[in-house]
Amino acid sequence: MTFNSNPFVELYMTESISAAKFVKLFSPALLSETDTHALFQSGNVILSGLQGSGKTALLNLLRPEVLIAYREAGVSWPLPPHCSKFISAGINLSKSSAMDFGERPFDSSSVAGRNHLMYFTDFLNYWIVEDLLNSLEIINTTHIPNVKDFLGIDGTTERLDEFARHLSRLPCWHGGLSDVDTFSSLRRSLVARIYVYKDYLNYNIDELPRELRESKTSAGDPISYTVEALRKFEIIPTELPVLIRIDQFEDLMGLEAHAQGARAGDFRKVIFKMLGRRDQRLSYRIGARPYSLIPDMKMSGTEASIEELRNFKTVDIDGILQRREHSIGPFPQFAEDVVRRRLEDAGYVLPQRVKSLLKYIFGPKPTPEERVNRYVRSASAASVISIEHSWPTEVTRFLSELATVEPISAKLGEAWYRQESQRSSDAGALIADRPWEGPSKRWWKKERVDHALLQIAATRHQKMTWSGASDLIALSGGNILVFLNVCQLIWAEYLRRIYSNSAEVPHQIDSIVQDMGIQEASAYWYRKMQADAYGGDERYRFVSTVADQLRSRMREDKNMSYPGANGFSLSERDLDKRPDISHFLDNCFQYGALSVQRHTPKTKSRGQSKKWYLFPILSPYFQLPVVKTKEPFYATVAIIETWLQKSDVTIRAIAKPSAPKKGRDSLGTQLIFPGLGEE
Amino acid sequence: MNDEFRNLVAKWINEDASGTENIAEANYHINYMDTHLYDEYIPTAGVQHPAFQTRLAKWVLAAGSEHDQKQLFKLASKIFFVGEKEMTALYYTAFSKHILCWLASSGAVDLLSNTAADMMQAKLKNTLFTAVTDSLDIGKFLRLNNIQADPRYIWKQGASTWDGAQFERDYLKGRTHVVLLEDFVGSGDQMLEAVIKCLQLPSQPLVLLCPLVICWLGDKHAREIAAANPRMTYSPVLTIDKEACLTEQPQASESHVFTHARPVIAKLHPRLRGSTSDWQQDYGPHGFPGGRTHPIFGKLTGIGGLTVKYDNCPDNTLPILHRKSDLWEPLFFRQSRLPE
Repeated sequence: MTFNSNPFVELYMTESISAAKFVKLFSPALLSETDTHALFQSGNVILSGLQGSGKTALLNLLRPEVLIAYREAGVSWPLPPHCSKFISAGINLSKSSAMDFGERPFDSSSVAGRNHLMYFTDFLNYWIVEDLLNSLEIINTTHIPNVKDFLGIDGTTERLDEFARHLSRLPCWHGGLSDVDTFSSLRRSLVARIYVYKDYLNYNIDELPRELRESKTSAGDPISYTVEALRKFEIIPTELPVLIRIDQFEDLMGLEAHAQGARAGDFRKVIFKMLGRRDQRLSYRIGARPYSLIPDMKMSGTEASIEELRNFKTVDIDGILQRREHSIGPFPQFAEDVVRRRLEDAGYVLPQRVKSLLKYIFGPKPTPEERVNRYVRSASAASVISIEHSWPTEVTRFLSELATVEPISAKLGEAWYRQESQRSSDAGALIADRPWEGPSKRWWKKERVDHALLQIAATRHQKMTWSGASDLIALSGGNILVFLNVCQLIWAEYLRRIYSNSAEVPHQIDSIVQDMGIQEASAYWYRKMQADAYGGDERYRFVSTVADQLRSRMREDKNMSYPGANGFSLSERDLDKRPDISHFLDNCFQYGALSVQRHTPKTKSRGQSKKWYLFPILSPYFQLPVVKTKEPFYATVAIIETWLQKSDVTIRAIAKPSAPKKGRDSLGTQLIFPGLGEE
Repeated sequence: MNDEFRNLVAKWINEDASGTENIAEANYHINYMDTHLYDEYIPTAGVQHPAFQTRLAKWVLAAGSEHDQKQLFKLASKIFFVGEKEMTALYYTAFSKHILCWLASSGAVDLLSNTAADMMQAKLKNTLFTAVTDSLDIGKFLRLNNIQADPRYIWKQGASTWDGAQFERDYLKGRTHVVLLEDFVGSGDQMLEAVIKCLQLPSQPLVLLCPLVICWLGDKHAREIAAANPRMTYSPVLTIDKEACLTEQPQASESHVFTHARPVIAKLHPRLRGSTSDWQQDYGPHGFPGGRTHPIFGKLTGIGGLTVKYDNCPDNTLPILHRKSDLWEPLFFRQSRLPE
């Protein structure tokens, strides 16, 4: 075991590891949120979340191998009993051959331009049924005791063969499964059909066989009949939920853009059609990034839409993990557990009797005084304050002397005097008492500390610094991938400095080391934005403009009247009038460029509003505070238009969107998605 | 030492809040290259050599003043490292793009005709593949590109006993096309010697000169020779422009990193010589062939290259990067064939 390697080097670990290792590394912290329990019970669920939010890890928990691995390891199933019995199968769209459907056009003997959808649907049906039978076989043949009995699976060879013969003759296959007389031959036939598609898409055969062309199946039909037959032959109990996973839903957008004859939304509508069946026999689990969810959710080949609550329930993983109004949310606990598991897996000996491992490793957030010491050398401390010629000598002298010993207090004193001297001529006489440090100004001071630090760092031409467990949590914005990336880069910087063979977990890694890793992570996430599909380059430029504008305002606001101006607000009324701008900002949120919250503005006449901030990890790159203090910069649509022009972003005029579907919150869902408006 | 060095880098990054010096970017780039490629460097793979980050810390801190240290750090971000996979990609590209295009165009092969494949096969059989030096692995080149070819010839190995007629008899064997390959070319001395011999062969074959990586000086010389010889085609896979090198004389469009590093490498050069000053390959701060006079091209200046190949550092790369003396520890120690 070497401790000179980075335990966070692999970011997407739970996607690629064995089931046994999954049990060790998967953090059940998320499962303490009852919203996630819907995934393990009957009913269709769309699991929505940004890249790296943990969707695939949650969906992988449904795999039969994982269920067995928990039993084998003697680890308790991390969910309550009513969420522990199910059988699951599915498809990872990016890892299967589904994405190859854009590689080759299909014949044009039937409905022009729609054949790729019919074949894609057929491919999905065969893949999922084959995976369901594979899951069944895994459970049926496991040597781990009690798994079969616990789930109620009863798969004798005779019964399975009888089931196979029955299923293959059902009309849902349109004659596509002939010559099936055993369970094994059924599976071989399913696999053979999948391979015919692979061969066609890879140009290994000139055309699809006639038998295949004449036996295409309908969306979800064979899956439902398979489940029904499994119950009919009492291979699975009637009450055992059958959960069908479809992961990486957003990749279908790329397929729609690439496949000949495909229109935006085409492939996704096939999945919606499966959800729209409202089939009591099985339940679907769709893992999707928010931007891929089409607002009207129409099903393939119809004008009918699926609706939340009627056809599916949304589990918004970002919403679950993000900090709430009056609580810190589950993310800190989740992050702590993930770090603990990673370090244990890497062979580290964890410290005993430690309340917070994150705090043990990364320490507490440095005090404002400690942070200011990194920006200001004592000899130049007086320069942190900005003095006006018109100010009384005693004010100037007091603040200048204070700056040499307590620069942060002097900076706050400067802001206090600027504000107070506009209201009262007595302000100068009070300055020696440092009223801004008194109990009545506790909140005034708290709200302005980060603002003062920004101004001091800027005056001294220094970068603002970040470190400490709470900064790591805040900068991650509730996204575990961002958090792990920050840990990875801090650890890499730590390893650049020392060569350690010690199994001891480092204690309070130097704040300079942490800051280096955080700055690197911030630059990485900003650069990455440019490479994102569907307008990443435009969002990259827009975010830069927004950040520059907000930072300039905060730097120039010497009175510190608007300490919350690291975000901007727009009234929903104004946004309703400009769906194009609303759409662009929603996209920025759904691609993780900005974060958004509803809020009630200071001026009631603005009405209900939304406020936007940079996604937290971008804050270090743009040197903006991450803390969300009340009263953001109150922008107007005209100002946003100016920012868009500065960013060279041209937004398409779009019609006012229809009202959101019942039960759907427009804050967390997309209004229009790229390309769909051109239909 | 690493800690002291990394704290210094952190300080430079924080002082460069406006990003004008690109210190943060330089740091990310160096770290990225370290993570993904620098472990491949063969001459420092042995246990007697510290890891890259330690070598970097020693190398930068050895500069003495903080100003000079910062310039060296920024210079390290300009290194052009060619890893093993990159070199393999160059072997592929030399054949699939440069050689096949040359064969098709020199033989007027109509690539759309039904007989194109057969004609190209005939052309390949009529071509002798050679390497200028054994630095290019001709066997690997042929294997990677599935070329069945025999014999193979290395010009440097035959230089001392060169006999054009014997070459025609033993190697060319009536072939009308000769390809000269080389993996890395600096000034082009050895390469052009081979090219001239080839062009003087009595049977007057068509000649393709195809270096995988060539520096600006070798590129200039190769172009001059090709312009004067219609039977020769010059088709480099990758050319390193003068602007990407820290040359003796400043370039109008050069990076400010080079402008600031130029006086620093000149100042530190005496330490590269060491206390005994018996460095036989001392061509000055900008490396080979600084100060030499070529019979055709006249007085030459140092190339000032920043290329480091995974298997060794070329001698026309800045010696501050590769020269080891009792007063200087290099970043990428160069294993020299000749006595240093």
